[in-house]
Amino acid sequence: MPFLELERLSKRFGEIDAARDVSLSVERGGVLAILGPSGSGKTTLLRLVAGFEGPDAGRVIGDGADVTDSSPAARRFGMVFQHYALFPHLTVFGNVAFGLEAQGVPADRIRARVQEVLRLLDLAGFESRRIGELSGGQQQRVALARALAPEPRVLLLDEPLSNLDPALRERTRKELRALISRVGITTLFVTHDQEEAFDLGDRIAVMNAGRIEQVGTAEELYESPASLFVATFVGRANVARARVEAPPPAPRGVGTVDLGPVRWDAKITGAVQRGTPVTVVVRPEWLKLANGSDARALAAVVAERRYMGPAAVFAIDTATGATFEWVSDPDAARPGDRVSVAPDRPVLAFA
Amino acid sequence: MRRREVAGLLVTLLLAWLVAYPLLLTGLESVRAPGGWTLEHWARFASAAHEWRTLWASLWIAAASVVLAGAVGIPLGFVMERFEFPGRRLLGALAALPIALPPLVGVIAFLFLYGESGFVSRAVQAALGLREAPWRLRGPGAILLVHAYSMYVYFYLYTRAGLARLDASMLEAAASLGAGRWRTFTRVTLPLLRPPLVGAAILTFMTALASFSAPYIFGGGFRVMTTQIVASKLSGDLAMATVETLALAAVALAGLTALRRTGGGRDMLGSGQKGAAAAPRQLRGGLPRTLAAVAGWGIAALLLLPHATLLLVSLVPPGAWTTELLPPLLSASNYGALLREPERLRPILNSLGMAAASTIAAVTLALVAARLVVVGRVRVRGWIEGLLSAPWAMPGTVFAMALATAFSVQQPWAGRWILVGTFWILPLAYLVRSLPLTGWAALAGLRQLDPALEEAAASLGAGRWRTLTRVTIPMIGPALAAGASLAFIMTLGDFVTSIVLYTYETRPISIEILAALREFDLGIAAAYGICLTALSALAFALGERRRGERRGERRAERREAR
Ligand SMILES: Nc1ncnc2c1ncn2[C@@H]1O[C@H](COP(=O)(O)OP(=O)(O)OP(=O)(O)O)[C@@H](O)[C@H]1O
Ligand SMILES: [Mg+2]
Repeated sequence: MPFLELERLSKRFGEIDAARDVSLSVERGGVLAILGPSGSGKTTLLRLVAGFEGPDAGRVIGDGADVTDSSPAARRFGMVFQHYALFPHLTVFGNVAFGLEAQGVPADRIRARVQEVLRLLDLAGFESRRIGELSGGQQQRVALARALAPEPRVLLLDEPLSNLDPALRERTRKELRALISRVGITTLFVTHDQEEAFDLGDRIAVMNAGRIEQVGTAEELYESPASLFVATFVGRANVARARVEAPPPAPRGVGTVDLGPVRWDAKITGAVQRGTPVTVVVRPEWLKLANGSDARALAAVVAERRYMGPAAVFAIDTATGATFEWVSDPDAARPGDRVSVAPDRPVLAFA
Repeated sequence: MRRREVAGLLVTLLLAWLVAYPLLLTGLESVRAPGGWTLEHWARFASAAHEWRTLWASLWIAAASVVLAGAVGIPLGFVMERFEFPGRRLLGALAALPIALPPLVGVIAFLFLYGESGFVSRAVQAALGLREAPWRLRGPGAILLVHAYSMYVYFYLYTRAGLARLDASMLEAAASLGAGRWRTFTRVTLPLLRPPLVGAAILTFMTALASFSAPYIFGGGFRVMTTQIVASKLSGDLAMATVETLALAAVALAGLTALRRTGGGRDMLGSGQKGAAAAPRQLRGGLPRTLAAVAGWGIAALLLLPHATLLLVSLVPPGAWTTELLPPLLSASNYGALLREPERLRPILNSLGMAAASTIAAVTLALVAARLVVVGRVRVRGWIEGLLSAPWAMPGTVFAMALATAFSVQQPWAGRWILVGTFWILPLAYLVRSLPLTGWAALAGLRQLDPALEEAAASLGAGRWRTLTRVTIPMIGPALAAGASLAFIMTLGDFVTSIVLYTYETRPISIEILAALREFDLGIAAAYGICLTALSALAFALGERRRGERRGERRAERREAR
């Protein structure tokens, strides 16, 4: 049975649907990442779960009990805010102890627990520092320590790494993953960074304009996206227009699409007939050099080569009129070369 | 959700009862006749030439005060902010000094200094061998002199603050586009300074229009509306006093609206990314530096003279100084009298007690109201904000009269009790007048407070009370302390409201200063003045210290962020 469940949550701000019919569930100890572009409603969703906003419709269920009408304090969900919201007038100790004091825990137990959490986050010795005297990474860890100290039932993280510079972000991400698995806490976190979502989430929910477009593992999202939005938002994607040549025998089965110069096999999503216009998505690494005589070979001219170490990314102007990205080994071609490429598996098509 | 709206309505009602209701009752009183309604009082007002003269006098005195204060304050602000010369820092701080002088105290200091038997007059008389004082400190000229001295500070502070926030790169951009110094000044600096300067003009206009002490002491036969209202009330013509009160209120509102119109819109200094302000220019060469220093110290002496005079007079024992140029004998006996004689100590304790009580009440009410506005976003938030600010738009005399009108009858069903003549009326009046200062401080503090902090506290299990006392109040404390200290200072030295509403038992310091002046106890009056100034300065320093701490913290945070 899921530990945290959101049932058809909806929230409108005037004309804007910040959350529309959102249903999600997280197993006990599971980590669900919510991935979406800026303004898609991620923070709003987290605030609905935390209890800072009341939903227009829908329910939040924690450990089997409906908490939709409970106060944030009564839910015992710990939250790490996007900008941390650390109390600048308190020390590190004061911040981390805040939740325990509110619960009326005796002073000696507070001290012990704060020490324990600070050690867990590698912050031992920072007790009497002021918040203004900490680096960004340290502040981030204090925010985590503060949320974890009262032993919440669920951990909510709003873009926990977005305020760190790139080098620190990667290290902190690893530490965060280790920490979450060590504590074993049920976690819901939001991000607009795909790598972060893939790395931290057992499962990932892709959010767009207040709606959940797809929930699945990183692999599922990448290999079989449920919508054009997911296909283009998650991972790199080449997009081209096409028409259905042969509809698939079953829904989401493999059919054939006509791109003009070539015909490719495609996993087609949506109700289509012969001739229905579709958008084709091809991942850059699915394209391989092909024999010009192959019926599936697409002619192209290499416009640009970006060297990336083990591979190179080529920009190729294809005969479809669209410019594609193509990932291959670094000396597969040089700018100006004429090449033929073909996908090594059925491409994706969306009606 | 609903509870919050109900609380919003209750607070709106309470504020309306304190602020709007007395004004409304005053309006009704002005058209009331025994057993019916009448426009007779208004007709009497409209047909009396001296009433119109008085109204006009209030208006032109206020306008002239703005011009004079600007003429002194703006150049002084530019000089202090833009030029570097020996003693600039000290001088810059001294220039704000007149603001620390409660109005009545400033007026008596001027009296001791430039009045017929003041130091300067005596010195000039002796130097020229005149038989009489060289001038009389009377009428509009005297009033304007005091206004210019005490109100230029608004222009001075606003000019300096504006210049300090003006990004130097804008001036450099203008220069690199080929603009000369004059062109840069007229096309860039002045337009950007317009909103703060209009702000200073509004402040000066409202203060001058409400000014009571200077016209009361120096006016002589020359009346402005504030003194006219009190005179009508004292002569027993209450109906006329209410009409005059409403007329003054109307002028205040009209003036405020007109000045706001010229406001030049949004404050543009704060927008965009913040660069550094222009560094003050070093004055080079011996002559300019000497001139600047001499002029600077001349100004400083002029500014300090009233304070020094007050201190000197406070040290003159009763009857010890008659015709000599300087007092022959100095002692602390006046201060001894204030502390030893219970009847003389009483006004000090009264003022302290009433100012403290009304400030605490005003802070509490402001905090509750501001939370409902900012955090609760209740539907009536516009009303709450308007009512909190309203007392600022009304001269003190208007509110004193309105409260005197509202609380002189016993009608509990109509929310009216007899408070006039009791202890309660003065603290109540002080509370109403403190609402804008404390209200703005609470609103500003809460608006700057990151709402996520309160949410963080709630999600950590803190209840409402805990969140309020452990997070909200510590965070907005500095802003609140600054507002509270200004409100405390204003009520501690209050003269305008007190003279309408005081009772012998509750007489505050200002009323006692007036009494001492009437009995020619100049030393005692001055000693009270010094006490009042010292207490005000202390309250100001306490309020600023909290703010300073916060500023230090922010600086540390910024350093860390870099
Ligand atoms: N309190 C509010 N009042 C009105 N509109 C709001 C409010 N909070 C959010 N919105 C709107 O709801 C939409 C979703 O906002 P939200 O902050 O949840 O997005 P987000 O996915 O967290 O974006 P970001 O990645 O930029 O943080 C936005 O269009 C936003 O403008
Ligand atoms: Mg967000």
